Amino acid sequence: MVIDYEGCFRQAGLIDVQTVIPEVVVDLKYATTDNFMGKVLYLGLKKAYLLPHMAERLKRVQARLEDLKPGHKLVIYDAARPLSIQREMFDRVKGTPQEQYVANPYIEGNEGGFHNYGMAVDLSILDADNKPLDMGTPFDFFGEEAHTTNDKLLLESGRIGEMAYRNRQFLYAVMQEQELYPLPNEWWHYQHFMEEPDKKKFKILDF
Amino acid sequence: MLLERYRYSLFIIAIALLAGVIGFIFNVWETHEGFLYDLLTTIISTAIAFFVFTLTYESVTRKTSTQSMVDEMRGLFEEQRRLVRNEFRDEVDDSIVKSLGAELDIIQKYSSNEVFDVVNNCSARLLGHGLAENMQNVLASILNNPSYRASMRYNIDIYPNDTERFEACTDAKFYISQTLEYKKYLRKVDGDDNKLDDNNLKLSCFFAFNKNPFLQKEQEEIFFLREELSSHSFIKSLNKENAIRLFDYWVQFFYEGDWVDLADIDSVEKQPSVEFVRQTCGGKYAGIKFVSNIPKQVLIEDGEYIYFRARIKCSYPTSRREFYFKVPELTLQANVSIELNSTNDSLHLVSFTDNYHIQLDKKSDSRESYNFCCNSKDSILLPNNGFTAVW
Repeated sequence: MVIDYEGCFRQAGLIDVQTVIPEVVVDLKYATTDNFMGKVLYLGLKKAYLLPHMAERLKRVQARLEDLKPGHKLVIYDAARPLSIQREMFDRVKGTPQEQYVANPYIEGNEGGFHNYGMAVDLSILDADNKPLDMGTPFDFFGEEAHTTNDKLLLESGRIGEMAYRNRQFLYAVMQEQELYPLPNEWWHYQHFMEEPDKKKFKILDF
Repeated sequence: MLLERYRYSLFIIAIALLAGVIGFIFNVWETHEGFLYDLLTTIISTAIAFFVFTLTYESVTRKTSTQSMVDEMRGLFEEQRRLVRNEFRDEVDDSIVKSLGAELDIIQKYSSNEVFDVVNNCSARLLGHGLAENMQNVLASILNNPSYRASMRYNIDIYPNDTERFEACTDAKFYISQTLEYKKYLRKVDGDDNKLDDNNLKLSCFFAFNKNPFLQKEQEEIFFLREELSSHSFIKSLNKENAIRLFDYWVQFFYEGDWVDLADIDSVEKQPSVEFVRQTCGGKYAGIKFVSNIPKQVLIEDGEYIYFRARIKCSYPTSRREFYFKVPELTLQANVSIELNSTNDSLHLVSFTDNYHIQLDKKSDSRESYNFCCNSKDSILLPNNGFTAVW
């Protein structure tokens, strides 16, 4: 059975990001086979949905990008994610070193991660030629090179290049201006609320 | 069944065996008295064998068949009784529901268990057993609750923190000013028609210091208002003497048709008491509590409940760009309004419950307001219903 994800998202109070920011590019990796699972997970979902406050903040980030680097735009790789997809992803990595990168959807009372509430977004920046800026690793790279806690060390040890280092610093800066913060182990993942109890203030996308 | 199927074969075999046994006995005694004697003894032994067998056989078969018939009848009877009972119960439910709908006084004729049975049966028929069970659990939690709220009016105003009032709180970009009023219904104590539990005759408001608003100790108590403080500099500045002034906290009760300050009703308790609450584990403070007595004059009897109507007002700075509203108990007819007074920010409101009317009212470029309404006569907010506003 194909779930009407978009209908369910709207019912939960989420909005289609492109209705707020028409210029943003949406390239949902889990709607393609270009992801760590190697399979299409979002059957019938091509749009990025988020809680309104996240979409509003991204709108300001996009406006700031236009000011600082005309022609550059945000590209969204993932946004709101249904809990059923989260289960499928977790089952795949359970018991492997990658388990730390996927939120556990089975913890009773604290199911899933911020994506499962529409509170988190995975993104990067496209240049004026619509090419993604070099961030040192691809999206969904499971390894220290993707961590955000010590970019300087990664640069000095040659694990990421100078350009990647500068691009990351730029991305952090424009996002943090709007109070959007990255996770320690994923340069592409941003959210406004950072603490676990904050999830309880929104509705889990349990479908 | 086995005996029945082979009854005649068994009968013949039994006669032959008995005749043989009796004949053998006579032979052993060697009492040959001629043909007539032999014939007579054969007839007598046959008759005795027949008589003995018939008695035994009838006794056994009658008992077995009677037993199986009784079991079969009992099964049928039970099935009929079940069907009749179900049908009867459905009919009774319908008639009760119609009666209740026609005249509310009729409800008094039924015990709460009977009424609950009706609701259970009706919901099971309408929703199916799975959903009905969930609904019944919700209803049970409401019915077991000793209190509820009604006619709630809640106004929340968010302002940029650019006034003198909280200028010392440098970690707070906004401050929140709010007014909350509702009728609080308290169930009378069992066995005493006119009294309330003394613990209920306090009006308490709690402001948690921790970001986690679900501290175990305070979770058990239902406050008139409960909020979360996020500005560390504001928390640090609080003490027992200045707290009421810093919060600009006041309480009013509805008394004889008007809103009256507590001090004008109760000459003894002019000000709420202030209490710093420690966490259950560890010595850290979990929050600050304001407690006022509820004057007996403001209590109004209403059936098995007593209610009072109160209003509180307070202000405090916040370092977070969110406001979280959740009712901890059943609330009838609520109208919540949240307004952001800022030109640089947008207010977003997400309900974490379904089907409540939320209306954005953009009053001007600098004022955005949401109304979270639940106004119709029968509409209710269930425990844990509410919204999160982010700006």
